Amino acid sequence: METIGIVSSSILKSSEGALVCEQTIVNKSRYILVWMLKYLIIFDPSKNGELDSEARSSLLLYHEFGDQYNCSINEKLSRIGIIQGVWSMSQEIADVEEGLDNENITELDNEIILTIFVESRFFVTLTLSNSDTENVITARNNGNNYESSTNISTNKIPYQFYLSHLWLSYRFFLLQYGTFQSFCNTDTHTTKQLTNLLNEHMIPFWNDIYLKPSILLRRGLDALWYEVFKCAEFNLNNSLKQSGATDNNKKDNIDNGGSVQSWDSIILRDVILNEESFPGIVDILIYNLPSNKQSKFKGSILKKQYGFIGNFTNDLENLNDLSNWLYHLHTSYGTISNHVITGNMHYKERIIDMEENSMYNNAREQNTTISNNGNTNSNTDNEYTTNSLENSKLKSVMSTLSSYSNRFLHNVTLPMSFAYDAIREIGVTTEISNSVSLFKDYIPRWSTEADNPDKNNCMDTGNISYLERGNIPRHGFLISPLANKNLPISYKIKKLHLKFKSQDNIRYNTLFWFYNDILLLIVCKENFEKIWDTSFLTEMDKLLTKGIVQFHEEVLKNLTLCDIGQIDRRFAYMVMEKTDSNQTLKTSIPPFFAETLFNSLDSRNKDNVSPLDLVFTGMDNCSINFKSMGKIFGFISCLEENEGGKDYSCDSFLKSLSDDKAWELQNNIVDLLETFKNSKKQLDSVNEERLLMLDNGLICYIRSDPQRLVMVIKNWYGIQKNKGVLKLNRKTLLDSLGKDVVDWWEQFQ
Amino acid sequence: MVNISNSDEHKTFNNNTTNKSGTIRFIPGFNSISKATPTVSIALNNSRGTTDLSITAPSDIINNNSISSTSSHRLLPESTKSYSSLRDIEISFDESLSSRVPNKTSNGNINEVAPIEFTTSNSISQNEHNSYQEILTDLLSESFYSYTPSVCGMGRCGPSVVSNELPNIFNKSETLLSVNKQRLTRFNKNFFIISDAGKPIFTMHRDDKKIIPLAGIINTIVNYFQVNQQAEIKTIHFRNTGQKFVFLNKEHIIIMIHSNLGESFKILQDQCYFLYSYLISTLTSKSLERLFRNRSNFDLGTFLAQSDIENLNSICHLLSNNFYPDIFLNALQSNPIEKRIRNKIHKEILQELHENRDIIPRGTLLYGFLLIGEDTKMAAVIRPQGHTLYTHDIQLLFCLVRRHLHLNTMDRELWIPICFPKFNSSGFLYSYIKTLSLKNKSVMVLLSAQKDAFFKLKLFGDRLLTRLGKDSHIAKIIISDNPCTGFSIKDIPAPLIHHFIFKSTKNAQYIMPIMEYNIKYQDVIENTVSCNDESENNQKYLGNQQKDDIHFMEDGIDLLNYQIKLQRYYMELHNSVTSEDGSKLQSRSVINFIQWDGITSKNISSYGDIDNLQSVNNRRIHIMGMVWCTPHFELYLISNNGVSDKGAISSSAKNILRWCQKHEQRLFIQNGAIF
Repeated sequence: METIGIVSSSILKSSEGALVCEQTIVNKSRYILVWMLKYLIIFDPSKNGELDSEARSSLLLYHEFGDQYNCSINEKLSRIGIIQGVWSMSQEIADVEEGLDNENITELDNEIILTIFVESRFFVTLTLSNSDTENVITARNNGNNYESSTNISTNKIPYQFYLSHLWLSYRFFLLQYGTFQSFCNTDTHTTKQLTNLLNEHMIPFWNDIYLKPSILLRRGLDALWYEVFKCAEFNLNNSLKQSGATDNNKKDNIDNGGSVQSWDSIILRDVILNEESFPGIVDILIYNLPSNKQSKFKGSILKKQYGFIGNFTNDLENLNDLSNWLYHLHTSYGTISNHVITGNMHYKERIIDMEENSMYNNAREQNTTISNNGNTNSNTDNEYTTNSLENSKLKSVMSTLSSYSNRFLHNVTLPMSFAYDAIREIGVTTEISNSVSLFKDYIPRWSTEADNPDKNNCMDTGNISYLERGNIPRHGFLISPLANKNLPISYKIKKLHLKFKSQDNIRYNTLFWFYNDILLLIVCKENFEKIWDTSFLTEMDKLLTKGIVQFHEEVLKNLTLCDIGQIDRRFAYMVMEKTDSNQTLKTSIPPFFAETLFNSLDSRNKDNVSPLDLVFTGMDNCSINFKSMGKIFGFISCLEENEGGKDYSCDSFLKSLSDDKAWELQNNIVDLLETFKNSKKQLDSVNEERLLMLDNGLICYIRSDPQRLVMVIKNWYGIQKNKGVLKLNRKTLLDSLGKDVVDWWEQFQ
Repeated sequence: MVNISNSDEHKTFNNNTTNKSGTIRFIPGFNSISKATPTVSIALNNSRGTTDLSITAPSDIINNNSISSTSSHRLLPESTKSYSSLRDIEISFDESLSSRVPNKTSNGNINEVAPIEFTTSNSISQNEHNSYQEILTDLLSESFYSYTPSVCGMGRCGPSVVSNELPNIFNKSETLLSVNKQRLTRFNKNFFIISDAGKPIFTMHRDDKKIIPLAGIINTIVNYFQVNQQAEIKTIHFRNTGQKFVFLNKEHIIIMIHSNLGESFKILQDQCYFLYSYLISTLTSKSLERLFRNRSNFDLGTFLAQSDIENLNSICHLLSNNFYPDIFLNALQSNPIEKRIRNKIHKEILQELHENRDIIPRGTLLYGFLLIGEDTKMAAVIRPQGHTLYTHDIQLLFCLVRRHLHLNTMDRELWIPICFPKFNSSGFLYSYIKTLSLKNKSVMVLLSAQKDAFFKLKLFGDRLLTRLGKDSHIAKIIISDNPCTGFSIKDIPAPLIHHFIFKSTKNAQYIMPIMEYNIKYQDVIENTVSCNDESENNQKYLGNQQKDDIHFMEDGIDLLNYQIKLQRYYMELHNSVTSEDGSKLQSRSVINFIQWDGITSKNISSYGDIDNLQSVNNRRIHIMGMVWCTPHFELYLISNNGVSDKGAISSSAKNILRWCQKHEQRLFIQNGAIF
């Protein structure tokens, strides 16, 4: 059996950890190294001239991860200085355009400094370290005759994932709060406000990755490109397209009211263009975010059908950021709940008993020292973060209390548990187990979702109006004014900075609505007061339900066996459109991320002890178990329930790859894609195709042209030679991949 | 025997694999193509049961005849039966398809020429098909190789569909002629050597106003990480613009390379080390340490002789503006010589050595090479039992020889102390360099550890030369003014291949065919204009070396441009299977095809004509490259323009591989003269 664990180097120094390490070496195990996040700096060099606060006004955010010592202001300034020095040196020597959003990677022996230059003014820098404190994820493959690579550096999570997430963190900030520049134009007060917002946004974002690096990989290769967003592939035979419907389309849909309305025309006519809502509702974005368990087709989250289905306008410019934000939330937390959307859900290290501690210590995903008070060890050093620090202290105290209360309850009910176990034992042997079930009702339970999901899905926020019971689908609002009155405003309205063509970047109110796996994001104008009307929302809920039910009838029921992964394709593909007007990505390549690599804690630990908990903060500072929150769009938890924790989220032969091979393939693909960056061909006139035959039996085709990047991965042995006359006007390397790929490509185009 | 006939003439080709005879009947128009223009080429694309032909139809023929260059035609045997019996294949042109004539410009040039394609019937059995393929392969090989690359490109005929012209699909790199650039930022590649006190030692492209502060910044950056984080800075990469900076911080010396040419970090790091090695080879690490130990702010730039600066310049240009695959292949180029003759050379050397033990006692001679050609191809190696020099060290030595060959100082015998950093970085070896033939540019290099062994080695060298000269076969190779060295792409049954490099991993040597290139006349004009623009201000920064190089380039600009293009193509191929750190994508073996296609703009590919410089604005590009890496060999190849059939390329690649394996002992030096 495959056992995969995560060990940190700090643990390696301990006797127990060292034992694990030695064992894995002897067993020719695979190590996967995780870069250690070191510090995050955001600064504005244009403020350097101001001497009022020792040039610190240029420093907008300085955050060190983990247990590092607090460095002095001089050290911080020197770090800023060297980042600027590197930039100015390159400008002296090379044509690095200042106005361009640019990125640079400075590689040291034991460190990588990732810097992005945004808004022609601000530097955002993230430092990764692979020094003594690096984390080592050990993946053993005892069953296979796998020979581990001697080059350990090839087993690191590629830094490209960190870089793309650095861009994503910035873009998500823009989405929620607007540009940095909008805060820095006036007085120091707004600069402080920016710092506070950066603290609220950037630090939790990176802290989650610091604690759970697997977040970087959960989305798969599409996370490498922050400019594009994943589109779901459905056969939409109506006006709604992923590029957005035109106004003419809208009219056509309205006119087409005689016969059975298509699902999108229901939404368009009855919701968007409704007398009451028009023009208050600007757009509705529809996503398919399926989970394993809730999927109609058991056992597979289909990468192909995952993501953005469509919207009703074609001029939403930051649709990519909006979509990526949702995907990030979904894959990071395994759920899209109201807590996740409001930004209150984050990872924190779990307080565990000493015995448990020893059990999972070898297999921790992060080597952060477990703080007794449950603090996430964030070490924010900024003058303007006093309030945040106080809050954080308060939160940590509260979470400590919460954990103590949990432990207390556990101790109190322990005798009852023992009694229950004993009675059940007797019941089983005497075959009177039915009567025992009566007794079972008296046993207090708190993580009961697995036993009775229907009850536990009943959130106390009041947004979910209908719950799934048997075949009855679940639907309702996640974020809407229907939320409980006692909840903060963020649970009622999510304000996002969206940019429609011919308009400035302005704030919109957004509501979130779901129907099983389908998530709808309703964009409303800020001055659209109707959304505060309960009856309007209730009516809207009904109409949306009607539309999405129709969508299920029209689209989901018509999926072919190949679409749903019942018939494996012999190849996997990715097509990235990269023109300004179309920045989409369609792929069937699953995330090459084996849950076993990162959720190994479960496999190593029979008691399912995890060092990390999902908590939400901001309401009562209480730590709430993730499972008790209800699973709106379950992702991780469903995967955990799978055998071996393996991700089945694919509809191609790649799902049969072992974890090692999948990991190796991913790194090879990242390297391959990187070589395209090195290519100095004249991009505007020359297209490049590559067909790489690897000795592991895979064949990888990549085509890069100014419009799109196409990648196909196929099993070398699965290629059937084309028989018959090949069409001569189509001589490309793609033809070598066989008829099935050629047919797919023709269909795709 | 295979007979290929047409109405005017019959050609006979040897075919070793078939005893059947076949006739390909060409219609007169087609025949006139092959007669009128030596550049006609026919592409065989045979895969998946079909045989496709791409036929070049020169523009004048297209214009004068009723043949449409874009027409799609089927090459059909009259019947299966007649095919098998008569082996007759008739090519007929379908006039009805002539509506798809390419756009013609007013001056008669053709904007776009699409391949004429033929498809054989599926009813041909597999065996017949195979033999048919072989016949056609021979035919096409012969057709393709039957012309001599013209100096003026395609002449009046215009470009062919399959052409041995190699268009440049890459961003233009600056050459030495472009020294009029005012700013450092405009150079695609630059080399900086500074001391750890921040004093500039050497810069490839200089800007005196900027170099001193820049050296300060580089020094600060390197030292910052060293002091504050106990780490060495290795690279800086601007991904959006592709700018790369690579650092090498050795004791007292900091080397930084800036490049925008798309090399991997590993290659740039190797180049950094190469420059550092050159410094060590002239000074030794011991003396470098001594110089800086006494005075940390020692100005090494003024200490180095002018010749050292010129040598550094020469190396930098070799690494940036020339075709020098030795570094990224980590191998040396071997000169193919018939096995019998090579053995005889080695035997004669050993015999001479044995007979002259009194002159040259044991221990005097350490190593020796016979090099041929400007690119210092190894013809023979003399080495002691159980000892080998590092490839890196030998590359340094050859660079030195190459430099002297360029300077035309080879009429003299040279005695040069040189330190081999990998062999022993603290001491010198002494190299005796003697030119055997000025025209042939063959050189004998003898290495000794003894400072005063010049006369001994000279005497030995003279006697050896006399001895080798007695054998007419050997003399023909190493002494003759018109040597028979190297091989042409025509010598290998590899249709449609423009150029290739084959590296034998075991021997750390590589071979490639001699370069046959076409002048891009437009390029010559452009570069001449560029040369004339040189400002006086920049002239003063040019060392003698650069001026010499410019002189050389004015003569050899066509060759240089061609070499740079080749370098870029091979670099792309190499990068496509290696990661940034230089490791191969897969541990065992990998095959990668790259297809570049598109339409070149005027300034990329301008097929010129000496008489008429009006270039065609748009030209289709179809170039395929292939990399095949295994633990035993590496094969990089580039097809002719117009080829897009993977099957044909892989078939040629297999032929090259077979040919190289068959002639391995001829192509590579296995052991050398071991004493």
